[in-house]
Order: sequence, then C-alpha cells, then structure tokens
Amino acid sequence: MSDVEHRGAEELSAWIDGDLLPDESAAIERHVAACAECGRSVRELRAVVAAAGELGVSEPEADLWPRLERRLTGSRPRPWITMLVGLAAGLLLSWALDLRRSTGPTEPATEATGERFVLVLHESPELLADASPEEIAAVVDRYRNWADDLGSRGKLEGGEKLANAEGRWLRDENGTTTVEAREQRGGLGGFFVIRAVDYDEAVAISRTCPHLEYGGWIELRRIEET
Amino acid sequence: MTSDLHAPLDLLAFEGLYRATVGRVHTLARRLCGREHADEATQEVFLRAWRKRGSFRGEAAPAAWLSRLARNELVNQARARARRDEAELGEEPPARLAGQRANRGSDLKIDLERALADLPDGARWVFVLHDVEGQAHAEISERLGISVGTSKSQLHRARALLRAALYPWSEADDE
Repeated sequence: MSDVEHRGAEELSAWIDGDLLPDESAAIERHVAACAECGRSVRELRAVVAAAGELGVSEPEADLWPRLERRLTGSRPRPWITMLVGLAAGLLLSWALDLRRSTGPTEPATEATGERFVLVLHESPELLADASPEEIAAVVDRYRNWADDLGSRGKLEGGEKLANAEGRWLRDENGTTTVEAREQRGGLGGFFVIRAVDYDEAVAISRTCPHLEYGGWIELRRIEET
Repeated sequence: MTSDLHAPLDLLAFEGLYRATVGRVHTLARRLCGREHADEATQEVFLRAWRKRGSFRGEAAPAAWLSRLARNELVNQARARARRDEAELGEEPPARLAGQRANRGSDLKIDLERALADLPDGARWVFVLHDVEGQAHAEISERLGISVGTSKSQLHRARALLRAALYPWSEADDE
C-alpha cells in the first residue's frame, strides 16, 4: 500500500484540483489526513494558489501613452515644420527655428482614414547650390505652405529632413558588419508621410510638392501596416 | 466613461480606455512575456486594439473586450518570443527554482511574483492564466495550442516548483 509514502507536490496539486480518479483521490485523502508532512505540503500549495489569485496590478514605470499615441496616429506633435529642402546647415537651422515659432502646435488628425504613403525625397546634386538667401527663404516658404495645406486637410502624417552631414552606411560582409561614414550628396534629403485612399490620390498630392520644381525627384511608396 | 465607447473609437475615448486598463495589461505582459519585454508588448496590445477598434461593437464592456484581446495578444507574443529564443539558445528547463524567501515572515505575494519569473515558459503561462487570471483549462489549452491534459500537468508542475521555491525549509525537511 502506497499510503505510507510521501506524495509528490505535483500529485498533491492535482488532488487539490480534483484532477485524479476517485480511488486515487480517496487514497491521497487518507494519506494526507494521516501524514503531517504531506498535510503541510498541501497547505503550502493552497497558499501558493491563494496568493496567485490575490496578486496585485501595477502601472508601468514610464508613461507609455505619448509614444503609443504617435504610433496610433502615425504622426508626431509638429513634425513637418523641420522638413525643408537640403540647404547649408547653418542657414537651415535659423529658418527651421523661425518656422517652429511661427507655426505653433498642430493637433494630430484624430480619425485618420485611408492608407499611409511615404514620399522619399531624393535631391538633385546642384539643388540650390548657388541660391541667394532670399531664394532659399522663398523655397522654405513653399515647402512650409505645402505642408501647412496638407496638414489642414488631415492628409499629412509627418515628415523629417535628414541632415546633410555624413551618414553611416552599414553592410554585412561574410558575417561581419562594416560601418562606413559617407558624405551624402544629392541623395536622400528627407521624407513626408501622407495619408491617401490610394496611389492615385497619393500621386496627385505628390505632384503638388514643390520638391519637383527644384530638380528633386520623389519616390512614392505605400506603407504596409504590420 | 467606458459605457459609450462606440466603433469607431475616437482617440480621446481610446486614451481613456488605455488609462483605465494599462496597469492590468502591463502586469500581465510582465508575467507572460517577462519584465524586459513588457513595455513593448503592452504597446503592441494597444496598437492591435486600435486597429481592431472597428470590430468592437459594444457587445461587451470595453475593458472586458480589451482584456480578452490583451490575453490573446500577449500569449501570442510570449510564444513567438519563446520560439525565437529557443531557436537561438536551445531550451534549458530549470529543474528547480532558486529559493525565494529570505525568511518565513516575508511577504508571500512579493516572493511569488519574483519566483514566477523563473518558471519555464510553458508552466508559467499556464499558471498565470489559470491561477492568476482565473481561466479554465479548456480556454488555456485552446489559446496555447496544447491538450487539456498538458495544461493541467504544466499547472501542477508550476505549483510544485513555486512551492519548493517559496518554502525552501519544507523542501529541506522532505529530503
């Protein structure tokens, strides 16, 4: 008769839950009543189960909402104001700061419809190479007005200008990742993210982007929501 | 606030739902996916809820709808992560957990929360879903893609490991 042997905790746990066959269950019941150690094991298992049912809930340490909200709406608080054409960095900074002051906060569109597209802005190498400050200011205005208009119609999700300075190029070569600092000339200048029902509408919006007038070209890609 | 949550849910109402439920979701994410992945897993839950908000028809309380969605999503994430980890590291199921209690007077719930994290994945998921969340084996087995028998044996294994970790002095007496 196995009644004299101690029972394993897994078996006792199964017995607590009524998972055993009736005669096996009756045998354990007799044993537990007679054996102090197994009786204690049962009490400890029950304490574990009871504690599990009473475990508390705690909030995350950091507020996750701001980042989540950006991901939900696909927008940043005021993204596109820094989306300017490729200009000399010093000039760019002063204008960008002016723009920030003049545009003020923009509310993200609450009920976004349609699909998201990204306009990847490639630049022509000679873009504004010898433009005067007045000409550059005019260009900046054109981009800002274009973005303003899109934003007011709920079509703009975001956008950024990429810095003109050296970027880093990463590539895997036979299992080793090489990293190379490389000057960016006349390449990728920045991007806009827009919202449109289909490519037709996205193309129609892109056609109006001043970037085309300044010799750049636009790569338009639909964003696949994952 | 949560009673008039219509489809489509607008952002304001969704933030209300987020504020009301994020603690629960994040806590479950910590227990199922691990503390280091909990922030990301929580965000994924709410991203999915936002994308699926059109399918919310008000047939249940919003918090209940979100809880169900969170459980499914977090289990899926935990399993996917475990599959990746297993592919990279190979499996290493611990035979027993480190003793968690410094002395008999320490808080059992705090020690349990700590010990939980060391359980092998399968046993931890079932224990959390059954003993913490109050789910039935039938639901758990469906959600995890295992049999009811496996769900039960994982649960008993988890409790035995936890009991050994939380009552190390009893274990010493047994041997």
